[in-house]
Amino acid sequence: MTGRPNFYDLSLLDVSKPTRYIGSEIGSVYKDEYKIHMAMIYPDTYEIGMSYLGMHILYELFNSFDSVYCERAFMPSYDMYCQMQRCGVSPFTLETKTPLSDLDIIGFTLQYEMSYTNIIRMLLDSGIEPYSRDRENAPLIIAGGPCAFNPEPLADFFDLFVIGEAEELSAELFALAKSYDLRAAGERHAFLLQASKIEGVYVPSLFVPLYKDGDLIGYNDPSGEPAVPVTKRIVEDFDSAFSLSQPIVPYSETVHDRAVLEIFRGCTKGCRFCQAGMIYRPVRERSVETVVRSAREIIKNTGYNELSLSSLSTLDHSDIDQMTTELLADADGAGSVSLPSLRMDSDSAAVLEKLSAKKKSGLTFAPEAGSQRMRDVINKGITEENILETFTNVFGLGWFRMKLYFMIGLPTETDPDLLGIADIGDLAVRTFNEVKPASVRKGAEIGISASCFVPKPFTPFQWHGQNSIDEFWDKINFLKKRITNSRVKFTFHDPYVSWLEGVLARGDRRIAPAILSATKKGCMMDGWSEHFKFDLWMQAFEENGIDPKYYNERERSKTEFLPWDILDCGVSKDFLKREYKNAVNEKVTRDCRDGCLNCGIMNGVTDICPMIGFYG
Amino acid sequence: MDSLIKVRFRYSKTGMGVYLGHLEVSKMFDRAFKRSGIKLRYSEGFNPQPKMSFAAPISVGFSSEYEMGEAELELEEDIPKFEDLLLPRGFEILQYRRIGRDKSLMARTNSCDYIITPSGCFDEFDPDRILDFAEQDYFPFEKIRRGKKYTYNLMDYINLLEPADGSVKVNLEAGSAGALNPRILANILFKEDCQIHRTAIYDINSKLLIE
Repeated sequence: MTGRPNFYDLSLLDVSKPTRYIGSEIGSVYKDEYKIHMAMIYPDTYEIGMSYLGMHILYELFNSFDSVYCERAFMPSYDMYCQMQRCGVSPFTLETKTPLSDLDIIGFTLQYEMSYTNIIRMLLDSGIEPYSRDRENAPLIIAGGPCAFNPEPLADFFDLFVIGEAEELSAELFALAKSYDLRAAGERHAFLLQASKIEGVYVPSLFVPLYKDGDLIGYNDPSGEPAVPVTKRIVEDFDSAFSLSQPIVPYSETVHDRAVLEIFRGCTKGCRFCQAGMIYRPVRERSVETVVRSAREIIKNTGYNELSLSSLSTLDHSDIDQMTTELLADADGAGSVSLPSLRMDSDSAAVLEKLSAKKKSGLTFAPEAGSQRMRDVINKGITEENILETFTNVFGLGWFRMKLYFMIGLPTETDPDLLGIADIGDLAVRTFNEVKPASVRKGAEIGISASCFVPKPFTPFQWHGQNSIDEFWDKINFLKKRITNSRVKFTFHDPYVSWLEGVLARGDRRIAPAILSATKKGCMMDGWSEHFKFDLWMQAFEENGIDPKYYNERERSKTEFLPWDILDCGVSKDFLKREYKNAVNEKVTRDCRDGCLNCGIMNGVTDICPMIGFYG
Repeated sequence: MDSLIKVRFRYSKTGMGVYLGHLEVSKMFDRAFKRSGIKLRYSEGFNPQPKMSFAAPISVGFSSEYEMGEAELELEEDIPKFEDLLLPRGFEILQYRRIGRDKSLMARTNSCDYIITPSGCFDEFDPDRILDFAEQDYFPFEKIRRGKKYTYNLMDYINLLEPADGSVKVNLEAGSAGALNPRILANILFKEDCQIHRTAIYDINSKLLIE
């Protein structure tokens, strides 16, 4: 032990909810013998990180390898952060309170762009050089997760990115890592050269960006040849793949205080704004048998009373009806089963009725856009009839509280599209008053939430110029005036945050210095409105000669080389272009379960898409 | 209803476990019972709560080798083995036994033993000073209750106060007539931070709650 201040010098009695920092929860792992000591970091607070299913999956998976000891670390809450700064205590792991700088590997999960400054903050506070090229005796710093599908803004900070799913890849990566001293710069470099040969591994230092007239035009490999894109990795046989059995059970209440069960990956809906719907293809389902067995195991290992099914568009599982029936009937299972999201169609009401016999708490739906025209543009396959039918069904069953999610700033959007949002709120209240059962004495409580659209890589809207902050405000003010029903409450996302997210989401390597400057100026916890400091971000861009509008507001040409073109997510650029054209032409594209649309996923990522010939 | 099974159990709360608040402890036990297959009774209604209670909850930060809980169980042939409960590090079941239709734990609790250990970084420990303090009949301390300030005699709450090996062993009132948080006494006795550790809980007949 060194003499530097550590965890045990802190007074945990002076911070709120100290159980966030102590580890030791049921499911947490303590190991004495291992070769590789690592931390898996969710760069936000404990509550948020522990609500993320992937954290639990990777933690159990990594610790299942004899050679690996994987601990957890999070961004401390602000009161704890201040105390750590005062006492000079650097970020530590929850289990053994080891300073991050002492580890062999630090792995960050990249769930949303607004956590980037937290990552840099944690490196700086740990005394780790932020740029990978400056690190000598230091841990290997890696990342994965959805934002790794455009790793470029962070490329200079990381040694390695995992593109896609880590279940199978991690075994290969750790097997290789065992034979290197990752903390020594020379060996780390030798390791990275070998690791780059593993499918799904992107080592940014082996890709040299080329610029012409201020634009990125491609990447070369170290020998000067045009670089070959890295193809994402998936688990082909998801039904028999590693499955979580011992989630960690937090002491304090997290956002989701229940067991979560992943029932399938991917999505066939093809919503054009949705990155997850593109990058997690192809759809791979778990069988009812696997899910029920897994549910029983998790309940037994955690003691949770509630179970939540997790996936994109959960009701799309081919056997969802049988699955929910069996889960509810299982005496050794959970007391109740819930779904994260519901589609607005007739099936939803039936499933709801089945699952929520007791409590009638609030429901959440996402029509995403107000007018039918706009929903056709984004390929959100629901109609006015679907919406009315859903309102009629669920209010008729006795619900009175409903949240409706919309986006503003979508491509081709005009005033009538925005008016449609207000109309749907009115329709909800009107329908409620017509169909509510006599037993419901309360009035309708409708929440309309508008988020500012951020175009994301690997979606048909990846070329779209994001709205300016002024345009977002105009639309918000327009909606504020139109949403007049006293039963409807209107909330909206901060346009400044979304606009900045737009820069980070589609940035290239040249914005890295601005991320570092912003962090050094004091930006962190950017996703928390009370900590977000837009002005400091703008200063950081200016000082580094970066025009943020080049990255977010600029409409890109279809022929432009995009920073993330160095990756292959499976869905082809041709498919995305086709879908962009369909969007502009207000043409709906079918769910690909009803017939393959040739998205490209079978061209490299998988041999056979399980959805091929699904209905015939 | 004669077949009601009520089990009283003693456990320790040490290490990182000291940072769990009372609600977190009770939730932790609820889940531990569920994991082990021991079926607790639950209250009726929308939001069923386990029928479980704890004696004299201690403040966050205190350690204890004498924490006491009671749980009502669904009828089983034998009392389940509580020592098999899978608890997080810092918690351990030390004793348990079936009890009858007793008064609630809270109602029975009367006093607690604590060991107060100063960190020793400011003052040399002086046993005579402790003995002198214990001799007093009156030591006022103020408490604010519902916005009003009251003055109490600290000595009324102290049944025993004696030095022991660099620590102070105390027995403090903990019943319904009034309780003294050992932290208050520790702050009066010492300038520096103290470790506070509970070693026993007694009922009105000065008998241990579980023997």
